[in-house]
Amino acid sequence: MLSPFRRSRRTRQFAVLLWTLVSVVVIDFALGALFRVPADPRIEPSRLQRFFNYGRSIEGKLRALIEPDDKQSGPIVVAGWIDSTCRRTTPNDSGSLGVSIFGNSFSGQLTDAIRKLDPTISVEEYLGPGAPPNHSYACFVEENSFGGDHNDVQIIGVTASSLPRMETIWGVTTSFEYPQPFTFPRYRLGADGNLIAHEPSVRSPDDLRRILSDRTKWDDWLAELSANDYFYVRSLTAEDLADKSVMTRMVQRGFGQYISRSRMAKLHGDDGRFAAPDIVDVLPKLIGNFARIARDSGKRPIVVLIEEYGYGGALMPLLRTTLAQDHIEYVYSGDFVPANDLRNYASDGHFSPESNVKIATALLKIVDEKQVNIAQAEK
Amino acid sequence: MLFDSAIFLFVFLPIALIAYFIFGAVSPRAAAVWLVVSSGIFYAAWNPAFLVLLVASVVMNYAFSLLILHFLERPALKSATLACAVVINLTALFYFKYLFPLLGWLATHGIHLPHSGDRVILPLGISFFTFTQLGYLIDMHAGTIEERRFVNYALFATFFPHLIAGPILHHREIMPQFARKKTFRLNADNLRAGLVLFVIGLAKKRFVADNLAPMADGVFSLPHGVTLPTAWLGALAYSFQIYFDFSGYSDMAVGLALMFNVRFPINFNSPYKATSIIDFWQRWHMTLTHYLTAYLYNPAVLWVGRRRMARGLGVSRRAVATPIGFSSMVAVPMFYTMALAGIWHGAGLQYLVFGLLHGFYLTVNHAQRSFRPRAKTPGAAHSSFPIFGVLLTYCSVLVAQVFFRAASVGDALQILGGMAGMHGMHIDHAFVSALHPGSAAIWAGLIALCFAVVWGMPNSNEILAHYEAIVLSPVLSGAVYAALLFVIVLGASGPPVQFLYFQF
Repeated sequence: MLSPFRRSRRTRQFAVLLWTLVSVVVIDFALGALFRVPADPRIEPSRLQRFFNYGRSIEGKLRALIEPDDKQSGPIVVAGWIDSTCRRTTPNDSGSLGVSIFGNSFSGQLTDAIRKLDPTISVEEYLGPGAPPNHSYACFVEENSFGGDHNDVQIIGVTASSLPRMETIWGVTTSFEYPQPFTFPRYRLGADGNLIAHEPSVRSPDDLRRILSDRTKWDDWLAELSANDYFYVRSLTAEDLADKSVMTRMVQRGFGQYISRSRMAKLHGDDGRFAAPDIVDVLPKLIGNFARIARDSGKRPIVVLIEEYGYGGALMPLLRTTLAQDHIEYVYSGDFVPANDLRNYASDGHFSPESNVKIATALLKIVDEKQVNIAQAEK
Repeated sequence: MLFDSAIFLFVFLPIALIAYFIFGAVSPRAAAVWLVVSSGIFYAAWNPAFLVLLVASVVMNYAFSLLILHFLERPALKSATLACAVVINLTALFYFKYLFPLLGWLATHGIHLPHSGDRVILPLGISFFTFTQLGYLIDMHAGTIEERRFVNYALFATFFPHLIAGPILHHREIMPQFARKKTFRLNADNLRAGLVLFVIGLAKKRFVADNLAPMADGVFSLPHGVTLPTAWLGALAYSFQIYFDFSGYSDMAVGLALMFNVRFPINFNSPYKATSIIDFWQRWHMTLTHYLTAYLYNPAVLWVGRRRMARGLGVSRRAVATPIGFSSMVAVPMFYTMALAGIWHGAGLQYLVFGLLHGFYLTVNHAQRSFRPRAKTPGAAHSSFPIFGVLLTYCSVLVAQVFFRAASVGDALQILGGMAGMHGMHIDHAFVSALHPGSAAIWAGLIALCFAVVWGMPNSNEILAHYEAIVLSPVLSGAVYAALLFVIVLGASGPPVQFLYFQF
């Protein structure tokens, strides 16, 4: 039999445990009520609302973002889809030089800088949020095979931080906390050295709506991800009970970070550089093909290599040989805005306006050369 | 598997703890074996290949300890065995930690030595587990070891809370605890106290150190031409980053060990409140100070003392107060010890300069004590203006920390030049605006807040002592534990950032 002292000690410990559980529930409920994300996905959540929602499953986040209509859905839902973004007609009947730029927000900011520097140039941008080179390449191929691109200069922007997405087909698996639900092909090298593409079965916001409303199609999509997306993790993707509580969402976020970092680390060699074959072998092939296709259709290919903070020296070793062998003109951001110099960046991680002007000026020097060539040919 | 990662906090630690106490209720030996196994899993989570190195190191050193024991009555063989163990341990450490940086340095100076293979990866914690075990062998050689069971030895060497970055343990502090049965039984008080200390450490690391890192990293990655305010912001940010990072790590390690009923020595005691450099080293990385004193400084002083006595020279306090006596019995051993302490942190001249600077500071501090006139009234010597001592000590430490953090001596001199105003006095807005929150004034405010915390607030050990003395009602206790749990969840939810001392 327990002594009275031991019994009272046990009772106290039990009471403390009980009150701890009650307090946890109260904290959880209070945070959930205070920082609930807006029901309307078009309204941008506050920083704290976003913070306490980071750990929600991808399915849970998508369901909150997607409404039956594109206009009522969150803006991110419609961004970057190849079939809608890249299949456009860009007639250039102004007589001025036409330039098409494929890439992500870094390329988008360069486009803005080019427009300011030389308003006479007609620039068309084909962008996806955080789009990797496989998206840009597929977009370029789609646009050119569609036959709508009449611009003389074709520019592809390759950002170093986007390279891990070459191992994925969906803009959510590498961006669990802030998913961008557009899809893109994943390329691998075949035995003959040519590219083999896996085209995702989901190709539009409407496709997303369909899979989210049909459990069988959703499971098929998860199986497709499992086979083709290196960053896919079922427990982070599918909605479950963890979504219901703020605390469990935060724990899930922690696991998401851990898994993402672990997988990201495996893409790099001991020297810290990218080493995964689907990046180091495929990227040069993509760029080589891009240049060949552009030239075959009488256009001039240019590549912009963009190295961001923490990625200094990541791109040139991968592409130097291809750029030289295929005589591809390029602009390397590191020549004008060293990647490790914080002064070159805005607080959101993009280049500062001054940095964009430096890179755009270098790019225009190449583009203007083309304009000179056109003028000479016309004479 | 970092202490603040979700996988550690919500998978590894609960399993390790629960299984430990279940095994402990059945058999202390089984619990000890479980702890060794789980420490191996913890270590292998970084790189399974290095587990082989750790196991080899533990087995080899234990074998050496048995050999030393075997030769206890044969001093020559005993010393030869110890020498052999020291050479093998230091050779492995040299290979992994120093060889390739040295070859690289020589190559930059035009000396190309033939070597095969690429640069090797530094196994985590190699300095810590090597020196922990060397201390054990040296004491075994001196005949001061009582506990000799392999499981306890393996546990002492590999117990996961200290395995990667210390505290550097002395067998006398730890191994007797593994010999007690109550160590392996659940103790709610230790569990609670350990949890509180762990959460304090987690908060220091996650909410302070990690948020100062961008400023420190930014400035030290661009040392050339850095202006006065930016250089000071960078240096101060690093100074607080390393304090909150390493003391946070140490709090977490001590707290974790306490959850397993093992009491680690404390490693930090408000070092930035130190009034002198001697005081600083008694408060900063205290277990390293004890190690350096016991295994480097004291033997060197003893060696010098014996040689002086053999030559008929004195070794008394009065002898130390002469220039030659002070040089041979204080200055030389101090420079030797601190130079090695500097190199222990890494291969690079900047670490040597860091060590030598501290050697210089300590020598000056000891000289001031040895040569100044004695106070006429007791306590008069300590009544001088303490803020001056604190500021002078902190500034001296800060200068050395610039060398400690910089990628080279040249970079450190650039930063120090910037701090002296040699590259301009203006705020580099382009630099500061790239860092969240984007304003020099807010960064300055954060630094001021750090000063207020380290100078004005009690440290972790003092907070824990207060906490243990307070008896709260079950409702309030429940609220406190829920808040602690929330801090753990909050800390584990962000991107894990490696602890600074893992690189050493």
